[in-house]
Amino acid sequence: MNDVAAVVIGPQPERLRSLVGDRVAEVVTAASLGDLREAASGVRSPRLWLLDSAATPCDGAFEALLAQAPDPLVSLPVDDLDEPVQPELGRFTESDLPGMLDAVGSRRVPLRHSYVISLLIRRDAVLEHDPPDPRRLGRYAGTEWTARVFARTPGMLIPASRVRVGSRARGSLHHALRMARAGVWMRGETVRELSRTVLPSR
Amino acid sequence: MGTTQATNVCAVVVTHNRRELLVQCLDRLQAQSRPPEGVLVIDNASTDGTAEMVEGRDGVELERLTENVGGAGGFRHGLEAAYRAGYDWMWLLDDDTFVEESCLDALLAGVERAPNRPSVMSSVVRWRDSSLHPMNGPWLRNRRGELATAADVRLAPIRAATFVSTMVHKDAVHRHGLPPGHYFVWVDDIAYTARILRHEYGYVVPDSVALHWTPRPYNTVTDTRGRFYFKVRNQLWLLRGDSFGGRERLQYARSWLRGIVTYVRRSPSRTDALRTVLRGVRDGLRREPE
Repeated sequence: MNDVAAVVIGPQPERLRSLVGDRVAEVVTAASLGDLREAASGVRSPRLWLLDSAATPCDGAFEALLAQAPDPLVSLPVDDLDEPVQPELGRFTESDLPGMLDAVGSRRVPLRHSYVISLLIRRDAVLEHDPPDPRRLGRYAGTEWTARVFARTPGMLIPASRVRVGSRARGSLHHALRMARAGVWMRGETVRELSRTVLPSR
Repeated sequence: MGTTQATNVCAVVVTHNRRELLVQCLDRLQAQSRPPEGVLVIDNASTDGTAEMVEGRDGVELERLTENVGGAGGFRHGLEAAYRAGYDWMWLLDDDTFVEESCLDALLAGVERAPNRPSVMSSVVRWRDSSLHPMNGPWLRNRRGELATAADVRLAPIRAATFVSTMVHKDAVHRHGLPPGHYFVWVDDIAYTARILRHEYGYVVPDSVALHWTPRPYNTVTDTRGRFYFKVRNQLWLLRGDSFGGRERLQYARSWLRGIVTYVRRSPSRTDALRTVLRGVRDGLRREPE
């Protein structure tokens, strides 16, 4: 058995608990991202696999994350056709071209931030940061939190690790406006995310 | 690497009065772990004994031009000759490009594992100190899903590439024709590959490495000589052409303006720099030669 505890975040965690329970040392649950630090403090495993309870890891997703240590490592969100789901992908550090090419050469993509859907991370890293704040930022709480975490320890997308996601609720306008003020998004992202909250989805 | 030897590759090298650099360039090409089937040197009317040197080498073909038509004209000639000779891939290189031993092998291995059939494949281009060469940094495609999928097979999708270790497939030449030889120097490669890659696929292969042996790690803006005229003129032609559309065109126009401001600011004589820019704008607004 490995040294990873799965933290299933969100409502109805039982489905994922039974799905991943035999692959990790232990499984704990958190009602929302806001409870993440509390959930992390209750486990002994040094690494955590944070999982959105609505997502389904594909075969080999966990092993692909383990193979690419050090963390934080993020799975690729895909749809039923195994195509990447662009709005759920997070943002790459495109400004660092040498870093991007080095990472791609190792089958990784450096991330500036991402949603918390399937993320392998050190427990200490979770404990040393203020927790995500879903009450203030809603759907974007994970984005704001990972931006803080990845600023200290670069996060990597691992395309070989895939996690199936269904259609997710759009963010609300007031959460998006708060996010825009948080300074995580760049100008283009801000415009796109704000427009997503008010325009009908295509 | 598992590349297929059935693929025919012709290395096309364009040169002008840089015999010593060309010798090293050809040495590297002929020492490839997977050598190209053909090596074609386009000599832009050199007067330093280049032609004699090339004629004395086995396995290298020479096409000697009667006048210097610039890098752009040379690549147009070379690509056309290699295409007509029936090669699958045309591997385009400046004479100061020193490819690493597995450069071509890695490019062809990249073709094999590409998620979509590629029309253009490019190496990572480094300067002498191994940093990315500022003139040839790969222009990554701004589609995150595509990048994630390609990264899974150690490739990154590109939107354009320079002729410093870039391969173009014969089918792309068939569909898109030849590069703009009348550009003389600079931006012809961007215009051509961006035109192809507007609707097709291309990738940079991180483990295929070429050194661009320029004296300094300059780019077409920080190289503040009068040749900047060609950049101003050619970029205007490019902007008026079909290589980019929509938002990309706007972004390119913005970078064109930024480049001009940087060039003028850094030039020792602003008057001369402005004159160069104005000449470029004037000619760039004129009708592009056929």
